[in-house]
Amino acid sequence: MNSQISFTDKHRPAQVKHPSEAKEGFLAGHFYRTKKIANFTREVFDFPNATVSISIGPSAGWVNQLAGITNVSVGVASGAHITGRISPTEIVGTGLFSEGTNRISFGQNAHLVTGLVEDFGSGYFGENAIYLNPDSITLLGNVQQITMVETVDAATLTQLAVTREYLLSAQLRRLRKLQAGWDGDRAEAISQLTGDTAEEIIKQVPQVMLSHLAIPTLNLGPLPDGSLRFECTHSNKELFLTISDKAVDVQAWQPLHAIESVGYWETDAGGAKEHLEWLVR
Amino acid sequence: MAGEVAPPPVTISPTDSLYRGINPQFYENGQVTSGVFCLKKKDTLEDAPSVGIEKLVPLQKFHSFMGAGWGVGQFSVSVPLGLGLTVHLLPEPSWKEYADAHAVITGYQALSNSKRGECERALRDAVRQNVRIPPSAATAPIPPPTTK
Repeated sequence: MNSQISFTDKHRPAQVKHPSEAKEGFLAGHFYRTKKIANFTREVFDFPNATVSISIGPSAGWVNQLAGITNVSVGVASGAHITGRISPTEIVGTGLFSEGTNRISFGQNAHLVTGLVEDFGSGYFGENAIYLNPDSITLLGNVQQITMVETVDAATLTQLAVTREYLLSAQLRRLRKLQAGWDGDRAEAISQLTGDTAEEIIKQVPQVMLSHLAIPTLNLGPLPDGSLRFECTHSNKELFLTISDKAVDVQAWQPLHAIESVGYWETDAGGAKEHLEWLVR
Repeated sequence: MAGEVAPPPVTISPTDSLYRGINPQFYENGQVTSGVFCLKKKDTLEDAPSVGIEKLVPLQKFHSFMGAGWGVGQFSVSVPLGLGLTVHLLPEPSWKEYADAHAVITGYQALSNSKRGECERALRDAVRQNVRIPPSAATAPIPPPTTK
């Protein structure tokens, strides 16, 4: 299937950081605007063992190497096509530049498109590195967020979202039928209101998945007190949505190995959506 | 009878292991869910999550005390202790000669909702890492419709 999300200004997700400078006089910028792509934002925790090795090679562009543990280091192949916009001088201005190699210190950013260094800036992207062509880049370093621009098969994503919703609905239908004592002890049945609230949340799932191009893992299970709990994980985050009648208690963790949660909120089905969005952001 | 020696009192240390029964309803998509440790403010000692002390009861025997389809997970005593909870020995007469192998996890009743949620999740993770006997699947969900 060749259906992909078209990446245009109109459809560009908000989290794509795209320098306005790229709009003119730069081949990579042209490619960036016209290629059918979508983007994901990944936290550095997605890249746990910080050993860096990337090699794109001069033929693919100017970036030879992006490496570092406390820094992101970018090697720029000497060669043609370096525009004034991305001159070594500019790079030196924000880091250490030597023999075609640039070291971007903490707090700076690399904006790479199809393996070409498109722009370097200090603080412009707020400690983000943005690049396309993730297959050729293993990025590790002391950046806090990496935005990867990847191709996405919209049809597959839509199918996954619909399937996920269907499976959750099927699970909910099953849980609604549990009789009191379903745990072999004194467990309560699932109330009509609790089931209805869970259904409202399930309806939000495909919308959140498609708008953020993310596929979180969602398990729905009962608790002996008759409440229902969604356990949702994505990337390095986990979310509990515990439903009791109309009330939804939300608890979130990041990173996954943390025992202490980052927050606990009492809300309703409508208020749960922003937390689902946090999960996949 | 003269000369009979009383059995030594049961003690558990942080290096000991515990078994926890896993109701099939708490096993979703091949993963243990947090319902396996539902900690409520109003729980009495009898309501608190039951565990078996691994050194005092064989796995298969503990499993036989569970209902049909249940699984068994194993985790270290250090996990609840590390969360500030306690493992309270509570002999279970129905376990007969293994009665002393029964205990409950307690000490969470005074915690906030948030802290109890953290304990439920941490205990779930501990069991999830070492499922000795997987539960049978609860009623399988209806397969999704085929798309063309």
